[in-house]
Amino acid sequence: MAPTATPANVAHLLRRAAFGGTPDEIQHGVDIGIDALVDELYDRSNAPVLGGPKTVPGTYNYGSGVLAHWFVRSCVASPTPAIERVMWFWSGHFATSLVKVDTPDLLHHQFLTLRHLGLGRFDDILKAITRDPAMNVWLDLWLSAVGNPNENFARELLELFSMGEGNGYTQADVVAAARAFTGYGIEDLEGTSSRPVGVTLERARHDYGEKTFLGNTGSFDGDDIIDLIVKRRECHEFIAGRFWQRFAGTTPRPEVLAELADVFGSNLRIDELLRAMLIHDAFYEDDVKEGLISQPVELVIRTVRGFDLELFDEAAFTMEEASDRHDADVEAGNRTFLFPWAVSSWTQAMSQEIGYPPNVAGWPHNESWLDSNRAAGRLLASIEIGWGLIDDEHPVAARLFDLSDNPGALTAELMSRFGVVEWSKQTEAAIAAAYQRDDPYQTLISSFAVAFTSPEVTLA
Amino acid sequence: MNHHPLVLPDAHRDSRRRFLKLGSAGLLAGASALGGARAIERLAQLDAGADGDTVAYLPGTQLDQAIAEAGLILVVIELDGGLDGFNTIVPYQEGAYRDLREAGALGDDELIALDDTYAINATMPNLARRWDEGDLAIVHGVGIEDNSLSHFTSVDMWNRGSAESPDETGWIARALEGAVTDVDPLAGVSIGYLSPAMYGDGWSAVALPDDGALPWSASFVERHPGIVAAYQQMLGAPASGDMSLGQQVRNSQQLVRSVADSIGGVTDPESVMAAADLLGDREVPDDVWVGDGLLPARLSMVADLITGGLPTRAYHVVHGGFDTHASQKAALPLLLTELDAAIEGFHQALGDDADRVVIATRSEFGRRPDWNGSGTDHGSAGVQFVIGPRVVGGHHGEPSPLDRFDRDLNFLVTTDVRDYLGGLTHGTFGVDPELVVPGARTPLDLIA
Repeated sequence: MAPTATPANVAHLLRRAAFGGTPDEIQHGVDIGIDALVDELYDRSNAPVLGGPKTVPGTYNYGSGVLAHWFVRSCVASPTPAIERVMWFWSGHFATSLVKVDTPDLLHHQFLTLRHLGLGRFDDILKAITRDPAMNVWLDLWLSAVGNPNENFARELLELFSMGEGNGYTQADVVAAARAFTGYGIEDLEGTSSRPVGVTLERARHDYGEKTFLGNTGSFDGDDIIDLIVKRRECHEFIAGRFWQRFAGTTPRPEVLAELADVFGSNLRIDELLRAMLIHDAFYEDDVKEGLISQPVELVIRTVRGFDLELFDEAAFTMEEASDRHDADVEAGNRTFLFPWAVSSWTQAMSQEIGYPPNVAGWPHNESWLDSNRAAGRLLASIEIGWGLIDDEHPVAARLFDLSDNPGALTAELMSRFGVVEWSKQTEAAIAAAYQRDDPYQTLISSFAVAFTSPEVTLA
Repeated sequence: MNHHPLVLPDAHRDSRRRFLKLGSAGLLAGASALGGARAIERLAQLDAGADGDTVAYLPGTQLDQAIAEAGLILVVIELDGGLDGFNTIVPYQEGAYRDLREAGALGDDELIALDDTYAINATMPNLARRWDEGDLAIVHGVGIEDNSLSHFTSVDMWNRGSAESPDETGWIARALEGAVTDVDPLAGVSIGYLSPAMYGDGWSAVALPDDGALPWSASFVERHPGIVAAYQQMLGAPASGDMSLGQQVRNSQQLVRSVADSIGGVTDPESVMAAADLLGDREVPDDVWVGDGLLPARLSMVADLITGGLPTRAYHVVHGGFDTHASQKAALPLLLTELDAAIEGFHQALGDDADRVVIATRSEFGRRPDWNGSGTDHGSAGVQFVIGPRVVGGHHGEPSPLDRFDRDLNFLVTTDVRDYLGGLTHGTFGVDPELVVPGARTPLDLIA
């Protein structure tokens, strides 16, 4: 029995699972029900093939701002945003940072791997991530060799990626796993360039000796270690708990967690875990609906989708070309896309930069997003984004200008574009107070900023 | 083994003490982002009596009194990732050092001798000089018994100040609660994200962005009258007892507003940028991670806030990149050079105020005695530094033995983290260690 498909429930589901829903999308969900809607969200037959940014001629590289732009535009343009939302979950779960990896191209490759496998079996995902060049650099896997095992990857694999800290394993298991994960190397297929494109296992550097891991003894390699991990109940509970944390926001009740861990443990499939979670009654309780602060990247994607903001096509233009084109359009008075670095500039202003998670544990959660530094960033960013909205010829902006002296309708319009269907009197009064007689630009920017930083929109 | 004096920018040398403008409902009234009944109640009281105008900072307010009460200032530098104390303060005469560290052992030309037993990594000439001047305390064997080798669990324990802390509050916040009569968010300031060591009981401290950019400056208010009017509505009266996330969103924006009123214009972007130049054109090899290089800039901001007269008693800054599993030979010298140069620049920027400042490091753990081929894995006990004119210079705590290790082959803890943090906060704030780190046995005597 799935929960009732009220507009509020459907809007909640779409905000958490798919970067927000338009009024039509919400109505569609109300019509077909939660159960069928969840099936549609993860229907891979609709999922596009994701490309990549255009490289600067003569190189394989582009800046991290382009990677961020690619990521956001992929999520915005996709007919299957829920599938891209899962890619975002995994990129936070495996939290690989360019501060060390240095090459956005490698992280792009990791994102595509996670998207390709992200709804399938968890053991496949783990095995792929051990062969991922960016991860090899990030956690020093490629430098770990027989006789000198490096514990970095093995520890985080157990602690952060699969079982949870101290949850059913010991330091001896970390050491055993580190020995099993020796011998990976980054392959340079082109021979002459420094571009690492693949990961190989070098026999001479692998430790073929006997290891004891989680009570099993054998001459295990990395895949064997993963096979042993995914059999454990601790792993099933940990992964179910991580999905609940990032989609629901709260700590799950033990019986809910147990139920989800059972589903996940039966075949290790992520799509089935997601489905069980999103049709669960507990996912629609008030504490969950009020239980998650939107991460800045998610909020920017929700905003760009909801307000139909136009981003340049990074597959067609390099950042430099896009900048030139933008300037020329502005000069000629033509309609154009947003300034090219808008996306990375907005999320950075809110202390989140795609490709640069703060550490291997991933992005902050809930209250951590509300310290005075990050709260200040949200207000400053909301004004920047408000300026990005101003374009007399844009139908959304035109509609907002039309409504500027009707606070009730303006509030409804703004909230609906953020995928929100219920809001407080306090927020409506605030948006009304933002009205500036004879200054529609100020009214639009102020009311947008207030909506963007309101509790209703800051909550996911 | 020469001490190389660094060339420092003189942007700070004649830093005028800038008088702060503090909103009467501002400084003392911010509700914490984490909220809490106490902060909310006080906010309501102060709001009721506030005239809403910005007033000059005058003697008689609670925090001014706190300054008058002698007010040493604690500046905590978190060496994020786990400092390798063994290659930072080196028992250079011991054969065991070279046996354990093998190819990773430092040679004589990479060390500055401090005494017959210990040498300091030669990338830190300024700290070596402070040792000679008696302004450097080296604390040995600091750690948590039965610690975790997890970054995140260990950082969490350090934030709480012990492995057994019963609640979510942090040791810096608890020390401030003891040091200041009626504690206020601005009693503590983190640069960057808010350190959980500053989570208080019903209140939490202030976090400022690295670039110092805050809304609500005079020009912001002038440019955005609509937002000013709307925010009066949106923030509304503080809702006592409402700890929902939605109310916390309002509280966080309320705190931003009051903080910005208080410190607007105190930090000087030019001096912060000049501090960033301290590192010069350093060359960082590919695939070597040395953090973000922002420590000099962060400490420069702290210097601006202190010399500007902010009544804050504790600051927290992060210096990342110490998780040297690999490429340690390239990374650690760069990280320590940055630490040494940033501290030196900070002291110079402080001028006379340096006398009031105690700098102390923290790091979630030391690293493994054994070399792993290109670096060191997670360890247990490590070395910490306390620096400043008021510091009792010299060695503190028993060094961990070099021939006996714990179950994971890591250094034994000889100085319990509570004795380190309890001694530090007792010396800086005069607070009973039992209030800050319950269970401390013999708090170290670090401050004179």
